[in-house]
Amino acid sequence: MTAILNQAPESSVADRILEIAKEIIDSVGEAGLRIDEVMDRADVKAPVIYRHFGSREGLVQSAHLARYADSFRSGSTAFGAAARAARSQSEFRLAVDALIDAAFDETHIEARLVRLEVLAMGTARPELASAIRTFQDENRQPLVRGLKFAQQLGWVRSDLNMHEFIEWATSTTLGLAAVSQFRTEPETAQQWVRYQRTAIQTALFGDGI
Amino acid sequence: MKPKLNPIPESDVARRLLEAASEVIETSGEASLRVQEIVEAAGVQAPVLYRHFGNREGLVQSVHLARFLREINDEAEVFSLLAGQADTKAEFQAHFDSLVRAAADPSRIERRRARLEVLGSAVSRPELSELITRVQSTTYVRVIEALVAAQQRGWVRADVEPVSFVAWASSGMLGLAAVEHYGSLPNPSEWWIRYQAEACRALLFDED
Repeated sequence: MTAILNQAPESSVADRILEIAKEIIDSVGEAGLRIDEVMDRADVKAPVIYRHFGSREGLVQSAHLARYADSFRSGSTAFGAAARAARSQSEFRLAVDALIDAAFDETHIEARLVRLEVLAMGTARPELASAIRTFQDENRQPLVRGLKFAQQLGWVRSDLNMHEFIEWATSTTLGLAAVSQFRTEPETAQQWVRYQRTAIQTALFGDGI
Repeated sequence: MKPKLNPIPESDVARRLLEAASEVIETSGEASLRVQEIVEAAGVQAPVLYRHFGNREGLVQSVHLARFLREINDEAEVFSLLAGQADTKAEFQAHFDSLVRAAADPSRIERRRARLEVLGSAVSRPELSELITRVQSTTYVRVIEALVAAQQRGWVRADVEPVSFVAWASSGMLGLAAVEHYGSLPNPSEWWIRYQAEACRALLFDED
């Protein structure tokens, strides 16, 4: 049977199955997901899994997509609100700073690693990739609105292409995941955030303060 | 049996297995790898695979590690762009800029994808992660040395810490891979790199 992408199931049984799959992938990766284990823990028979997700592959992809969505907190929404409440460029800069603090916070290490893992697992899966793309586009809307608002008021470089900037700035966040997982020196991650902050400020304001 | 990591096999059969598995993983991802298909493609019996790689998982991880090693070797070529002696700050800046641009060249799209896939697949695999960490720690030595030398000559800002700067700049390239596969704007290697190159310049160099 073909894979069914069902990352937000309406039935409670499917939801239970999905939660278990997410937990397993979180701890041992998708290669360690066994349908037997999911059946046992969800207390369902195999056909129930296949009815909701089509196949093991469908369950894996659904779990990845749900994990990807979960890894984003409401950071961009909070920024959108703060940006539009700003009454001066310096207030807007504070909103940008708060967004950077939130996005690169140490407590989000796991969430960033999930994103790195899901994006890696999606490159050869066209359906998952397209679902990720759709999610990203929606998830970034508050960022786009907040930044456009500031640009109209002349607080952000007028020649900045907002969509390019957002894709560049959000995509490089994967670098912090890589640094936290594959670098042993603890100061590397702190320095990473310092460089990234300057990089973002340079792009937005044309300076490196 | 436990997975055996064997990215540079000495025996001919193990190499054939690794190549067959690489091809599958590169074209359709690790989830689609079937042991039966691999042993058939390599013309061996399943026990041969288990002897050399422990199990399917060992074969998958070996492919990832082998891809990572290839990618690292290839990257060393890009880094050689910085090896040329610069006599002036402007020359060094030009060398650095060409390094950043070469790393983002459209011809390297598959390399960048390999890096994203390998690093992402290692997130829940502690042993693979540790090996990648070890390999990576020695990779950027030449670039770091070039930055240190430029800093001593006063060309690079004193507040730049070369090791972590290179970690920042190189890890950011994963972003380009992500945008190439998941972004919604065309030709990312053209515009994405403008932002990255500008950021590098702002971080490394004072305006004259």
